[in-house]
Amino acid sequence: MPERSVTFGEYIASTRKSKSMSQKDLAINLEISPQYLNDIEHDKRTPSAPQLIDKLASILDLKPEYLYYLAGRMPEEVKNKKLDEKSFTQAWHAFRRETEGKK
Amino acid sequence: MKMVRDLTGRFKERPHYEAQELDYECETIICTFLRTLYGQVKFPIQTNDITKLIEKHASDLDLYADLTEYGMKVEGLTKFIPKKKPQVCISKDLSVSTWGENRLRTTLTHELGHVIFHNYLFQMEIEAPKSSLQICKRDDIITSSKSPGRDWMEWQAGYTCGAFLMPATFVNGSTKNYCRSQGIQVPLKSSSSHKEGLIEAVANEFQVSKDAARVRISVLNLL
Repeated sequence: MPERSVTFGEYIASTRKSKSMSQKDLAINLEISPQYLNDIEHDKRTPSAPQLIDKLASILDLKPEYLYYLAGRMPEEVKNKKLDEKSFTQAWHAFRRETEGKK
Repeated sequence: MKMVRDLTGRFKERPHYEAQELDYECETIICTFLRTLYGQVKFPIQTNDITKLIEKHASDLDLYADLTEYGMKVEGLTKFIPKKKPQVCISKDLSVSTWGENRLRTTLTHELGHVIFHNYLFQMEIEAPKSSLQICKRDDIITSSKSPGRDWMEWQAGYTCGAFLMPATFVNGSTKNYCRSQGIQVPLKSSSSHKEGLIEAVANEFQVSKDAARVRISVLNLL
């Protein structure tokens, strides 16, 4: 089983830094306190609302489904697979194809 | 800079910087960074930009860390980790305080000094150093820049703290402007009635406490 390469917080922090944003800048955009964002980035807390994950995805230009996965908001059998972004995306597309085929 | 024997026993050898060397290095780093962000150099440097500069050189900056296990007066620490960039932790109490903006700025730049000037020493160690935590107590952060006889790492970080926030060329310029406006000569005599006015002008221009401005003006021999 592959090791999960990043945690939710690490992924948010590294993406934010790659866009030259400070924690305060991102917190202002998200309309949350810098302390709350700091706690999220250090995996002390997870986002309480799906809206916040959607906002993070939108502002940081990330795939929301991967953020939901990292945040543990997926069914148990998917949640514990420790997938990296590429493996997750492949699995996600396969799942989508399968569910759409059943419709 | 030259390497000299480290009498603290932390390393075999340690870097010895003249104050002017640290002034030059810090001014170059801060001005280059500000030009990258804004295309110009303008002071005071924003606290937000100091955090960006730390994040550029450190693997992690935790601005809301619980540092009580290291002592009640500990407001910042730098963790040096083999084969990785260092981690910086700032006390949550300091970050959330409504009164501590200047203290936060001096603590951040003090830790930035450790990150930039000391990390390579830990990376060069063949055997793991005895301590990889550099713990910075509030009382030492400003005063450590005055007395090079103390722990050299703390002195260097203390000196760079002032040099990042108040680069020498810019403090010299501000002092000259202030003295010209008052019709007086640089350097000021320590008994001069204009001393407090100059300290206040520098403190306001660079967004630092009067204590930090006083120390900086003093080490630059402007007073």
